[in-house]
Amino acid sequence: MFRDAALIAGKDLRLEARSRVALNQVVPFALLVLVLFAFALDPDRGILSRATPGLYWIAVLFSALLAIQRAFTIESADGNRDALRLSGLDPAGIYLGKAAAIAVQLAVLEVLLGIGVAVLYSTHLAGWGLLVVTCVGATAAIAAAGTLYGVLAAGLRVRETLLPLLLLPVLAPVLIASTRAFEAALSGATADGWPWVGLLAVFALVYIVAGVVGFGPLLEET
Amino acid sequence: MNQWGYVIACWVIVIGVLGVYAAIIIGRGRALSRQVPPEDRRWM
Amino acid sequence: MTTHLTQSELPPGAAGGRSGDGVPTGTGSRGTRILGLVALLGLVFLGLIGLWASPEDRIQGNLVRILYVHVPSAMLAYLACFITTVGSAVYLWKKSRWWDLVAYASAEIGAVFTGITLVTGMLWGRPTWGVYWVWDARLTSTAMLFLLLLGYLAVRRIPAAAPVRSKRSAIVGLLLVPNVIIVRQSVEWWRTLHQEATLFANGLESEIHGLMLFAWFVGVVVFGVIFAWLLIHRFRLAWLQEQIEEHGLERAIADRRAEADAEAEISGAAEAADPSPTEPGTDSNGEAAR
Repeated sequence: MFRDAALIAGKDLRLEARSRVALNQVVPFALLVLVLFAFALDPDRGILSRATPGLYWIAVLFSALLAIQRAFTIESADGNRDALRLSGLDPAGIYLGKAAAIAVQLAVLEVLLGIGVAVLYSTHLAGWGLLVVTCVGATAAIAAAGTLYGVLAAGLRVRETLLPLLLLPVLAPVLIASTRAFEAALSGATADGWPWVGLLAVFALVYIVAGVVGFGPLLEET
Repeated sequence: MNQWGYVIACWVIVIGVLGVYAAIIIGRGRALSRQVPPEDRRWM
Repeated sequence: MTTHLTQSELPPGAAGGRSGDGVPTGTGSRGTRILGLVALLGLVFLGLIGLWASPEDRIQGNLVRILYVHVPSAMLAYLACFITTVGSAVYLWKKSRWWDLVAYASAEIGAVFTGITLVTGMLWGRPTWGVYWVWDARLTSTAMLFLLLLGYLAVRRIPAAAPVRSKRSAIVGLLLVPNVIIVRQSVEWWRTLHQEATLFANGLESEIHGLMLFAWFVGVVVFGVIFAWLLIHRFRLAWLQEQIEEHGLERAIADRRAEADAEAEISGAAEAADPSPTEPGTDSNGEAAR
């Protein structure tokens, strides 16, 4: 299963490295969201710096939607879906591979967004341990749930509108937890943040299991 | 609006929404029933 | 193919909306008529107790009468969500179409009840807190339940083949209860860690007069009966919709064949009446269809 996962993850990441869609479009989109927040919330009134954790994670969530859409759009070209099914690869492995590829892209995105936030919102970064672990947990959670709902919405004409409607309510706890953890980290009260990381871990675990189990049945359809 | 205003509004909305929903289901049920051959109209 | 008998043509004693030969003309039946009657009577009874016989609350005054519909509505909304998840699970496990349709019907009715819960909650909140909405744990979780149900219903309506639709909906439905649990937990931790007083605490924990408790109980029972009635009808409606879809394809093929036969007859008759060459293509089509 893990070998299949590595195969799929490698394929997806190599595809991305060659086409650079995530880099050329998703990352700029994320930065654009940060800029739009500044327009909406007026940088002089201190709202931006107080709301930084929330704005950061909303930018991550919206960009993740794009990344996940993309990850499954490449599959619908040229009958890739059938090729995947017939390839004899373990569906659980395919799931883990796709999720891993998405996670890697998200991780890169989060780092770049972190730099963006530090610069644009003049955030004073602190509590590094908590920040990094939160990112790891949130990335796992978003990738796990996103891949499962992504394949669910894949191959449909309505997928662009269906995926956000399905995924964003599901990811609301991730938003809550990551934001609270970041707030704790940035304000120095890191002890408050760790329970939220626990929530992220539980969430990621639940969805990894759901994905591993549910991906197979979803893939084997006409 | 005093308290009774809110109370009555609530009850009217609840009964109204449920009533309209029920009517819609029954109406569509009759309409669709006509389009399906008699032996297939019910699960049992 | 189907005959629609008017009311006057029904023989006396034809009960439950069936035509003379016992064929159902809609989603009603003897059982649902009884259930519906019980629901209506129960609703009247609830109204009498809730709006008239029971006393005002010491703190909330007459606003407590809203809770007699708000609380049962909320309970049934969550019950509906639970049924959808169970139905989805059984469908995935046993491929039972019955459970698939039950899940669908339950989700839609659940969405209706959730909407009612939110609206009545807001109408309770406005005179109580002065605002229509507060981000307390309970209201927020209910709003999230609404969104999750809408997502499920959206998957139910995707333009795809029925088995594809059912399977994908089932996965979403299966995850409904876990999602609701995770969302409720995280929202609760979020709001209580902020030390916001749960504004319900002051309202509900006051002395509960015996008749008020009875009114709540009646409310839950009556709404439960209404839920059952709606579920049966909605299930039957979903079943009809599925039948139409299945028959739809067969009928389209049959129609096309009938069309081709008719064309062949016409071109054949035209040939017999006038031996001059007919339009190119029609002849060969007619011949091919035959």
